[in-house]
Amino acid sequence: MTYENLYQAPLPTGALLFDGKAYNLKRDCLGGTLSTQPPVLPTLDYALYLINTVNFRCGQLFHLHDPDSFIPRMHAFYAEQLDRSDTSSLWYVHFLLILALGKALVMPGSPGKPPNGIDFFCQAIHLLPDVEILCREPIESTEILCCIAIFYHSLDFRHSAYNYVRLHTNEHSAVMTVF
Amino acid sequence: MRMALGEGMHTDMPVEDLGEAAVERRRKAWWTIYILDRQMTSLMGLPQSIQEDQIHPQLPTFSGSLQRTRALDMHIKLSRAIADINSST
Repeated sequence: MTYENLYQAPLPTGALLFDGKAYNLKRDCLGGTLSTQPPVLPTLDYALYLINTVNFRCGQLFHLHDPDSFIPRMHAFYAEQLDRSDTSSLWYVHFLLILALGKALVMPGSPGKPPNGIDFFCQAIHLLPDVEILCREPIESTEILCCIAIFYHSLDFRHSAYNYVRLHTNEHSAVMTVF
Repeated sequence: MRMALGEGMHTDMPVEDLGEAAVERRRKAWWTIYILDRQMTSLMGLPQSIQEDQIHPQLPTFSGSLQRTRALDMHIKLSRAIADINSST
């Protein structure tokens, strides 16, 4: 309607196909090799601030984590900071995604620069385990996949967001058949 | 969505068997998936994955916050309307 009002002509169909053009995620993280340096985690206080930002801005409508289990686990993670044996767990992937969303919400982006929180997001995507592991923790997995879908959607990667909401088909059916 | 369906979150899960906290979390997760699924499916112009008559979970109670339950209910109704429009075109 906006286009028609400005140009007095119908919007060309091709102009609707702009999925994934706002940011070049392949260049920033997804297509290339992951940086050997994991992103620097924020301090506990700043992490709490980012989580509360996500709760305030998104939590009214979307359930992205369960505070009763997520927050105590985060306190335990920071208390055992030197060990860092938890970085392969599903919770850690979830934590990175919430931090990514929080950073994206707290800090405004700049044109031409990677979106805020992308370092945490890319690390989370690379650490995301395969479907068989996700199926063992279905509730946390659905919360994780919702976080991913919302982040992709906010970056205008609608196809990817849609696929993560619909995840998954043949593999899940095969797992259910075995059990 | 499919993981949620496999877990049975689209049904009215029994509180007496699973516990109030577990069912409440599953209800919140389900309705989040529902809203995202309906809206993103509509954006993509694709068929719905699950029909309305197959969805039975109750609304979460949000520890007695009636406002939040009502706000969520409104968003669910909006998503349902979006799905109706999507399926009729």
